[in-house]
Amino acid sequence: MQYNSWLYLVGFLGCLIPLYYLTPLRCRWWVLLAGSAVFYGITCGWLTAVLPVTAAAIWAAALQIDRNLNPPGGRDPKLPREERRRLRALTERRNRRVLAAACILAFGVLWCVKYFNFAGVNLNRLFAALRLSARIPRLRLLMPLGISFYTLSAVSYVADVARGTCRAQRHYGKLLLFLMFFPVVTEGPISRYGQLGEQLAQGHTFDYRRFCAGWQLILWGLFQKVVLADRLDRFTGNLFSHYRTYSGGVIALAILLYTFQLYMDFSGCVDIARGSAELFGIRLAENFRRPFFAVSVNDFWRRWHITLGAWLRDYIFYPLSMSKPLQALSRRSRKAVGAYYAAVLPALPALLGVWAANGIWHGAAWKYVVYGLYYFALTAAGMIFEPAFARVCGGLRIDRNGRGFHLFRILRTFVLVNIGMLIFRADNLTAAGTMLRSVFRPGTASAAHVLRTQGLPPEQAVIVAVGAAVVFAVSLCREKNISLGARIAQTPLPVRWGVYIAAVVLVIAAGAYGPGFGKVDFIYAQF
Amino acid sequence: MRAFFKSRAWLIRMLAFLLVLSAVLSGLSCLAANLGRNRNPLYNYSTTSFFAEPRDSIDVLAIGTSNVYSSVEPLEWWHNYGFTGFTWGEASQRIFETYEYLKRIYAVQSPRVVLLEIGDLYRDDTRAEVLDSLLKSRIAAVFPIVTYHRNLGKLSNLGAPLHSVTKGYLLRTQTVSAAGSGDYMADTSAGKAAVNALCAHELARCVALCRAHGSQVVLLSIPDRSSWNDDRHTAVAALAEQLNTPYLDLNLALRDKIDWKQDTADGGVHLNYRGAQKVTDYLGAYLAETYPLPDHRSDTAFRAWDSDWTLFSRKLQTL
Repeated sequence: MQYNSWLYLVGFLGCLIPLYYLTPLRCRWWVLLAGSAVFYGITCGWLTAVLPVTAAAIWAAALQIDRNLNPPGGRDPKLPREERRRLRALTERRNRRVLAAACILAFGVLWCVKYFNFAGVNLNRLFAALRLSARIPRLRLLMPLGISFYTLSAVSYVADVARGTCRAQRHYGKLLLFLMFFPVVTEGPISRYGQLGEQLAQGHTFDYRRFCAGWQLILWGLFQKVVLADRLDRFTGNLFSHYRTYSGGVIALAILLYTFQLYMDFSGCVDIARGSAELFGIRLAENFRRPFFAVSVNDFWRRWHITLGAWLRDYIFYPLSMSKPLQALSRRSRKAVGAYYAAVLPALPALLGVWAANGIWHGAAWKYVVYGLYYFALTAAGMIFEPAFARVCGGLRIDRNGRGFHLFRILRTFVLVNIGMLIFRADNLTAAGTMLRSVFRPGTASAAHVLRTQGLPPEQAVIVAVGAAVVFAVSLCREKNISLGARIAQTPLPVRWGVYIAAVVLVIAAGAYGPGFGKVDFIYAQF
Repeated sequence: MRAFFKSRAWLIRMLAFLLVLSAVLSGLSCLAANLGRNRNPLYNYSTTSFFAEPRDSIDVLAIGTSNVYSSVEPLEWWHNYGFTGFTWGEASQRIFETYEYLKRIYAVQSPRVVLLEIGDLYRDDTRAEVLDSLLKSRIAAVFPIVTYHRNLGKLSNLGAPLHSVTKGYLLRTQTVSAAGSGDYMADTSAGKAAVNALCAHELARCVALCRAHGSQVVLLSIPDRSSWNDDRHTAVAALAEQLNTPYLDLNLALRDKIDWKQDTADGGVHLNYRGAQKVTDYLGAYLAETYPLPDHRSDTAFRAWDSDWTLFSRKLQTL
């Protein structure tokens, strides 16, 4: 069930909202669980069974860890210090084992359905190179909806329980709801139990302001997805499929428009999801914070898919960079390389782990691995050359805090991100390389002609251009901490209603759906 | 009582908002439906022009997707046999929409035969998509802007006449040959391409509605190289048998007559005028042979059909 479908917006939400608020407060989470099961069942059919099984294992593992950390009756405070230390070490060992088992199970299911064939293809190549007759068969595997997202949420939950950040949920149904909650199950945001779990378990009373804010977010998300992202799909699809036919500015335009399409698609989906949750009084984490105002790739990833970046930081970067061997390496190298590089050194292997995981998380293909490594290379280069760069800027008397330099950094990041998006979208690495080279070749066709013939005729292009200007203006306001939604909500009723009605009409009238447009699934839902 | 309403002021506000929104959408729906008509009645294939026909004047109704309005020329039937027909086709029309349209059609017409084109039965891939189409059709029945929203960009059509000379048929003269030369209807024995249960149920409702109004129903598949195949034929044939309805699969019946290099307007999806003639001739002969359809050619009440035919045939001579 797509978030931008009539089935979801009118049928599903139209039934669930009254049902939720008419149910006694205590039992409202049951309505959300039932709604999420219906949502997931309609979308996934029998594959729905995978999630409750994973949830059961995660639930049991977290309970076990919690019991180890907090034994019934508590620890005897009269125990000698040595004994307490021994018990703590024993508990840590046991919990590490349980945590590892839970991670292996959660990631194992993900690996089986998402990466088995990728591993098989590459191993078969290796067998062929070694002249071995062994062959791993290619399986027709179906992926349950949102498995890449709920797996990360599940692992973070057990890890948080093991770290003592949150207590284990005793009710299986409540944990299942946390993993299956319908607004987050398609494309996230990747939620932490501490942030979302308790909110879901509590019932929420109706709050008119939040309810309106929820619909505002949904409308804004629909505008991004239905009016802008879907309108660009045919053009970018055609250009990326027939990239050999074009060169120069046309290819650059295709890359640029794909970046915009992906942003609008993903951000639109998350805004609909956040708005949907808000209708039930539940606040989800923000996943985008004006990413194209970023001044570096690091900054970009703190603004783009924020919850994935935060997950990788908390569960890969910190554990790796703070690990004993890397800290020891840092200490040992301090004398030889100085304080700055001694701090950078343990970060580099940890960053490699983060970016490799980021890349492969997006999909089972080498281009995604390279996509991750591309960002690793940029981040690592930025860290390694930072002192030299600072010296060059100082020598050239460039004001690094000035407006001009700030703009330069934004533009530089924008270009680098677009190259990343090219790797991400191209059919394969060869295609990405060819497209990148062809950007610098003279163009053979005018952009206007290509736009007209490849799915973005002038009237559609105008809608995209005006839409992009609106998105830019709204982003600029948000960047300056101006909340347009709150301002609209404070205007007199006729103005407010006028704006809302105009927004609904705009989405219905200018939406890229129906005859002439293809069905466009949410891009990140395929990951 | 006052306290009750005061504490629920938001509810009243929301209902009032929905009321205003409904009024705006209704107004825009009316506009969008009208903007779908071409200013030249010769090229006006809008379904709204169906309502310009005199009450109870249509003998045969062909209803379905764009395949119908690209392939069935009712004026040829008039010219050759004297019975009247109309083509009601919407791009990507789903069976759920067909049902809604049939309800509106029977309010003003009582066609003796309904040719129910079923190419749309396989349009939606998943259960969620089928349910979405079902809900959309019900919403579109109240707010047609949901279906006709793209027409809002055609403001130059404002005030276009309701009349359709071609009776809903879209004259397509261009030829874009289909790629490939294999037999797309070859028996693959791959098993049935099951029709979604909801779609099958809605088809049964359409058939029942037509029968309740005294119409004979014929299920129809228009030649379509891009999406039809033998498995789908087998599944629909079984469905037709269950519904006790004749099924004309022109993909098979015209297998040797349709030339996919010459008879298609867009590479095998829709037929052009040459292909449409073959479909229309076949259907005309079938209808005249099978059903006792009246010949209105000497009836003065149907003079307008003669003038429409004259206009259409003049246009054809210029091709």
